[in-house]
Amino acid sequence: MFTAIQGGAAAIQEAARLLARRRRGNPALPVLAPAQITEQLGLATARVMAEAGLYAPLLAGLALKQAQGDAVEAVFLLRAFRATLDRLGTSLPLDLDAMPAERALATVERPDKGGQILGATYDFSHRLLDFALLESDDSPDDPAATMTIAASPPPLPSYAALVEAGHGSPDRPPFDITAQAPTLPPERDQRLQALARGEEGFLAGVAYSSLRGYGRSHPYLERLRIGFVALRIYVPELGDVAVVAEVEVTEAVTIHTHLGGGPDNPPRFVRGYGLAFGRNERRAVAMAILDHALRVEELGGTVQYPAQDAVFVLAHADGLDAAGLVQHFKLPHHVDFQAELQMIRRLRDAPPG
Amino acid sequence: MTRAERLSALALAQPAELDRLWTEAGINAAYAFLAAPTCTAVMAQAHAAGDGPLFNLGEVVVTRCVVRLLPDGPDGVAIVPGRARRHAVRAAVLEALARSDGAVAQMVRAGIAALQEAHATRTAARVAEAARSAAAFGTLLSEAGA
Repeated sequence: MFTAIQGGAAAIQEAARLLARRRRGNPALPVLAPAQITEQLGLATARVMAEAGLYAPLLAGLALKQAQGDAVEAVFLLRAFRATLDRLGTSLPLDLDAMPAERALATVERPDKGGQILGATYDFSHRLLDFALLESDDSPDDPAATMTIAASPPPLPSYAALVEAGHGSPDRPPFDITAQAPTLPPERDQRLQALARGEEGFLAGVAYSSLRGYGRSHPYLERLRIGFVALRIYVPELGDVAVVAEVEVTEAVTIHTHLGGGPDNPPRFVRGYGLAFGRNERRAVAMAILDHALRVEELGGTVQYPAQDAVFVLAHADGLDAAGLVQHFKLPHHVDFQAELQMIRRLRDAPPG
Repeated sequence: MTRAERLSALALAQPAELDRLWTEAGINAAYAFLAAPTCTAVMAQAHAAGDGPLFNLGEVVVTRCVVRLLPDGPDGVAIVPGRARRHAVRAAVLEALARSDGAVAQMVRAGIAALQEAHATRTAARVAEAARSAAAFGTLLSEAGA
């Protein structure tokens, strides 16, 4: 039951003032500019953009500053900002094969050309605190001039004929969870949009459960790519398509053995797909694992585990929804509690039997 | 360059580059807004794993502006990344000027072509820098079998 509360205006103002002071921290230290957060805390910025469902690096940096670095609070700020905007339109499908990769991994077959591009990764670094970063200027040297390498799309794998054919899109525009009420059971386009903005810890946790015996999931990471992809839209004044932005994204494709059964369901490989704004590897891989897990019925199986249950996963993946309900208990619940209190007293006063 | 290519070059340019072109071409054009610079969102769509269903990834913040050079045109359109009113206005005026006649228009067209080139160079440099970290991982098994 929800009841209105009133009063406390002066206290709320004082609390806001305290918050502003706490956010600023020690005034003897230089103030942090949002652009510094965007540039130097890029992975935090990426997480906020992904979970907000809004690509706006500088505004995500601003949101993180305002939220003292709390990702969920920053997501809240960006989503509220989004609510003030109109939608200009919809992009053409992102052409990820044409994206120049700044990091590209292929783990199931050695790529024909170029090997793997490790890119800017923590994967092979010692996780030792680098005390040199305590110094104020830790800028690395500029790299020596290098030859130019043309971006090339990933080569066709040798097992291409053994992979499921994509089923294309249903005969309707893709589902939009920001504009439509959820439908049951959610189809893959709806699931992918919800996973793309799901809370990272939840996605990683449920994906992890599916790998550890609650999902029979044994994925390979067929490819992981990071780069800036062109955002193309049709511009009516020009009667033409134009690139209006470049959006940094992380793409993960998992590939899974599917034994099938019967003539229409041959043994083959099937894929899971993850895509996220920004440099977001953990999120993209978890999303791909969950995309595959949630296809269980489409692939002829039955739902047995939480990771396969689309209603469970989609209803609980949104970090803002979860934080809202979990944290609303901080508000006064006097009326609700009085009702419970009276009930307990009545039960205790009632004659036994 | 087509109008769409110029719009893209102006969108992907760094705002400081745009300001430099503005100063160098000595732009002093009178214009009116047909659409004042407005922050808006474009829904980005992608196909799952290349050939799977189309889905909505999320929205991208852009700023759109349409101007008319006074007194009688032409019009210029800009759509630029982020919440960037100044970038959008300058890009729209430059797009309109590029459709005009005269010496300034010629400078603007050349300047926009240079922006496009500078952006391509930046992208190539980033990709080349990343390519320095290319690895050819082998395995003991495949090397023994080779």
